[in-house]
Amino acid sequence: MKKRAVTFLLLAAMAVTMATGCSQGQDSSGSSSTASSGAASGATDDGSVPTITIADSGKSSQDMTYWPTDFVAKMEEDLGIKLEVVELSSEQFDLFLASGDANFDIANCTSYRESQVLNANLAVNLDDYLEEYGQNIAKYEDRNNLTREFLSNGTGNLYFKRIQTGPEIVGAESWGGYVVRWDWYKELGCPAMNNDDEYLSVLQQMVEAHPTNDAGGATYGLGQYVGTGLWSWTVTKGMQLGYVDLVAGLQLDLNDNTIHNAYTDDEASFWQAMEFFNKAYNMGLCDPDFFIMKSDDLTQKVVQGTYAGAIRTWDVADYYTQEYAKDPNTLKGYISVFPEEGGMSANYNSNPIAGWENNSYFVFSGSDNIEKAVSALDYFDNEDNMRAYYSGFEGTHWEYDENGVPHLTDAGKELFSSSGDAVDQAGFLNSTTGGWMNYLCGSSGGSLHSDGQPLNLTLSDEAISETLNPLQKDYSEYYGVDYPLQVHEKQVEEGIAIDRSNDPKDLYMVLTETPEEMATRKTQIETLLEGYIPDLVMAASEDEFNSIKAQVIEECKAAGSDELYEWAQGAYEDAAAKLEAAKEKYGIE
Amino acid sequence: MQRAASHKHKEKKDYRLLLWVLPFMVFVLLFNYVPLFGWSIAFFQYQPGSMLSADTFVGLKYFQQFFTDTIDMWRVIKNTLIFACLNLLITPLPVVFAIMLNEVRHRSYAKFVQSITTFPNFISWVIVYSLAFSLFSTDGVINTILMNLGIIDRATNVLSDADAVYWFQMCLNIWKSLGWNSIVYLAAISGISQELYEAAAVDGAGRFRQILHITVPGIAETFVVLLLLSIGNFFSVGFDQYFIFQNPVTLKNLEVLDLYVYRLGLVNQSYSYSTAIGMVKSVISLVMIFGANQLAKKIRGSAII
Repeated sequence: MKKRAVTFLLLAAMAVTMATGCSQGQDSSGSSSTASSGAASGATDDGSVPTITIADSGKSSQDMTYWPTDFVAKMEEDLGIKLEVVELSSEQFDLFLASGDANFDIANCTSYRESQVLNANLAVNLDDYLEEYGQNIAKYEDRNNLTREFLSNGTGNLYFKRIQTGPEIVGAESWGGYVVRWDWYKELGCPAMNNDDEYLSVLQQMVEAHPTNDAGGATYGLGQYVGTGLWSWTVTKGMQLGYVDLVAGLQLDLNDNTIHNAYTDDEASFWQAMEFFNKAYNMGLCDPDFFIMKSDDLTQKVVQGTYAGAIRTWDVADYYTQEYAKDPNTLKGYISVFPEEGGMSANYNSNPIAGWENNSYFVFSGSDNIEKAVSALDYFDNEDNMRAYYSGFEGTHWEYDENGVPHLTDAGKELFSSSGDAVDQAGFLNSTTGGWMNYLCGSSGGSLHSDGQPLNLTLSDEAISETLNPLQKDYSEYYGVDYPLQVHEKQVEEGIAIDRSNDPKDLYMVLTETPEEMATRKTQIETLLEGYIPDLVMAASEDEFNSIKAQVIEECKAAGSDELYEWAQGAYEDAAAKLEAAKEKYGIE
Repeated sequence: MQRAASHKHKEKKDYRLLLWVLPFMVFVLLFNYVPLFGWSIAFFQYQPGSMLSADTFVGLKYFQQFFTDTIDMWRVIKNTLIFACLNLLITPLPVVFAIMLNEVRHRSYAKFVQSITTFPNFISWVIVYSLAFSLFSTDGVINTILMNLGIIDRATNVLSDADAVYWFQMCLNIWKSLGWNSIVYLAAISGISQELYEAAAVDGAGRFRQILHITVPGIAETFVVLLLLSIGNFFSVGFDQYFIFQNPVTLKNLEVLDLYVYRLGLVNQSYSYSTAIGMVKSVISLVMIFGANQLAKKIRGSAII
């Protein structure tokens, strides 16, 4: 009898254990049956103000010293909420999908996983709330219609709010182009760099003229960091050539809208980049630690003034910040120079109707504050709130002149051209505390407010010119322009270079998730390519390079690159046709 | 009659003792057995968010994929086996170190050495990489010293040397784990009766003979148990170390099974495939641990299972 009792107890414990483990799922309707904890459960701090929690991956990992920032405090007051932010890693997102349990009200669905969220019934149908709580969201008709068409699992409902629709304006300069240390480049008389060979020759001359860095060590032409797969090797060349990595294994050339195999075709950014790095290596321009540096290791060398050039401007941005702190008139920093003959693409002027790829915000169906959560999403679709986020508060940071044209005030200019405590306390676009909220805004900063000026007033030509740093001013004076990017903009006007105005960003939302088999092939091929990068870069001659290249291409084909490309081509053409049909259906230009 | 009552009393006591085990059994069930239900996704084309019943049943497709993959699998298994064998090869080092440390007569010095050698165990691999970069990179401390002394005229870089991957990683592993792994042997040595040493000394045994005939047999049991456990984890050579030290040069030699599963499972979201690989790994580990157990039984006459 007692033996049975013990057995019963053990079985009961086991059952409880399993029930506990499995009860975090969904009810028959698919909604979470478990009240989400903390903020999302509607817990209040003062008994009346609900807390709305936004989960984001990466963008929210920030110093919370200044939280709530001035902007967030204003938002909390306007909406009658308390706003919180939590980190949501990819692994946490998987857990959320599998369990249906969450500690947030709003989340960003990345990596094209919208269908997974919808399959699990974890997103609120925003259409049910637009009339009362989402009037600003509703104003984005084209965006919403495309979202209903392609991101609703065929239901035609609006589950996601896409962000950053409208023209992408980057400000004073672009990161593409040939990056040079400006003061050294000026010493050489700013020689023209119309191709990779001329760029590398300039870097070599700069290194020869400055063989030691600020710490007494050797200088090099270029530094690189690893740990990002092929990305850190190919991103710049892809940008310069005007390519878009649209689907796994397929690149779209924006110059003529042709497509090519990203792994085996000669014109692919990978092979173009390898040729460039091979030449650089054989000219002795690559840092000997080229293949082992992580991002932090590179930064350590950057701040010692080790490099004559850079692969990306942001890799070396810390050097100018450091030198500017020592001397506010310094020209010791890096900037992109574009070929005088044109032919190079730069990253501005894309104009997505349905916003940025890889960013679809939704309200968690298990939230106890769905209405407030919808209001919070709606807040960032309101043009006045976005103007405040991008340009500061009216009357303090900007004001209308007698003609009704908004201008940044002196306080605004100062705030948006500096960094530090005051900026972080304010929490606008340029702050470390609020910069991530850019990903919540329905429109880009370059989009126009109904007053006819950009939401982001720092992007007006006048404001850009007034907020240039000494290096940018010097560059602009040298090239006879108002701000550095104008050099490239003029080339686009002349038709000798392209911007990203024909980047088909809306295609991303139409492209279906890459099938598992193709995704595996892509990973295997890219790992294979990554493993050959050192051999290619360090190949001693053109013949050796070509021989390795032929071998690598053979191996890529054996790993299924042709089949992957065939699938990608079909997916691209299918998506393009669907998008075109949808635009016609909704009368979208 | 009295005997029967006594038997019943004993049985009652046994049941009570069994109840003490209950929380631990629940713990084991919860964290070791319940998660095994997750293995079922290896037989489905699993999509996070959907119910398993809604996913396509694919049978042994992913297992087949694992065994027929000619692109990565054999390279990854080769790397895993090499690192596993190297790890096995260095298993006696903590024993030797513990014995040597035990023989140090100056106790404060012995404690100092023990602390110094145990400390690296608590340093994360991320920090280890930073230290390694500072030491071994082209502008690192070692190259600078060697070049200043005129010993070499050109900087060498072990971090980007594909030929040095295996032994360099093994050295790092030894540096990081030697002190920590020796703790259990030091504890085992301290459990050996001092009388044995005294008796041996009276019989004229020197320190080396005492080590050979008292210390080594005294900790052999512990060594075998730990060896069996490590054989059970033969294919789990780790993740952090290889993930951190991986770069384009070392990629081909450093990708081990755990890293491969991470790349496919988490990065590429092939959860079913990576689960199938995990299952194969577990089965191999089970076979190996029982095999090693049988071997130990044959050789030594005793085993742990």
